Amino acid sequence: MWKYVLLVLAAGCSLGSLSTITKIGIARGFSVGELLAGQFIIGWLILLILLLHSKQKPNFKGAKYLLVGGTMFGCVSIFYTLAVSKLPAQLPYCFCFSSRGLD
Amino acid sequence: MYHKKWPDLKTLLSVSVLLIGTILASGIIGSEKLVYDPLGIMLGLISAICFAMYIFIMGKTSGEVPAVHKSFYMVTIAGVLVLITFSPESLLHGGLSFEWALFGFFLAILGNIFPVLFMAIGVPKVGASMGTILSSSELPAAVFLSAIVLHEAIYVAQWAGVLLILVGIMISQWERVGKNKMKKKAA
Repeated sequence: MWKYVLLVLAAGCSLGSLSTITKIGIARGFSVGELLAGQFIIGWLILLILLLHSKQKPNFKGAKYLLVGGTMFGCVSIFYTLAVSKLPAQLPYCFCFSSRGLD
Repeated sequence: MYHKKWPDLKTLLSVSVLLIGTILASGIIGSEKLVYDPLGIMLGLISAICFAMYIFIMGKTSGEVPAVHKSFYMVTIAGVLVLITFSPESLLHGGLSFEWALFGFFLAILGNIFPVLFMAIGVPKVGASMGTILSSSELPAAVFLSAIVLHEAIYVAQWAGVLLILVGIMISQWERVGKNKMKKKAA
């Protein structure tokens, strides 16, 4: 059971780190659409590779839940990234960071 | 709520601690002036509601479907939705750069692969309500990273909020620790 608890904790943590990367991306001149497109195109490709490597048989049990779940996840990503882009208080720090460290 | 069952005292306590912690960690209290865009806060709240529904639905999915397959189907649907919403045509006229791919790669790993895959594995096992509580580790992670990487000013109240969130998560897992210890003693 602990393994699953830690996995969900880790999932939360990695989602939490998204806002920081998104802020850096926006500070580097990318639009929300470009960042999200990159996230989903590359994410989809990685999952495709994982899928092709897994030897498990496809199983479409509960496909409607996956359909709704996928839609919800898309909404989460869209609203989350937009929210990060709309909360400007942190942005100046991004600019400081990008002009100082990344180049 | 869905199961028409009143949550037990432990869950109630853990959720109240989490709520107070979240309000504190968000930095609404403690900053001298409210600097946040109300639209941004609205978007954040909508995103949080969608996220809770997403975890709830994850708890309903069948354990027989391999997690990689679940994740692939969901990211496919979500990706179509995202590309329809933003139609990033700038990508078609030379927006594709190495830097774009680099950002895309990190966002994909931390935004699509880890969370979706780990949730697909974990949430059906721990249950939807526990999944929601556990995934509140998101905010402490966000506060830590923005403090360390972006050098954002974090108020004392926010650190207190982070601490409360971690305490809330621990309360929710309290019984489980006890059970594990009992099992070890019995064995």
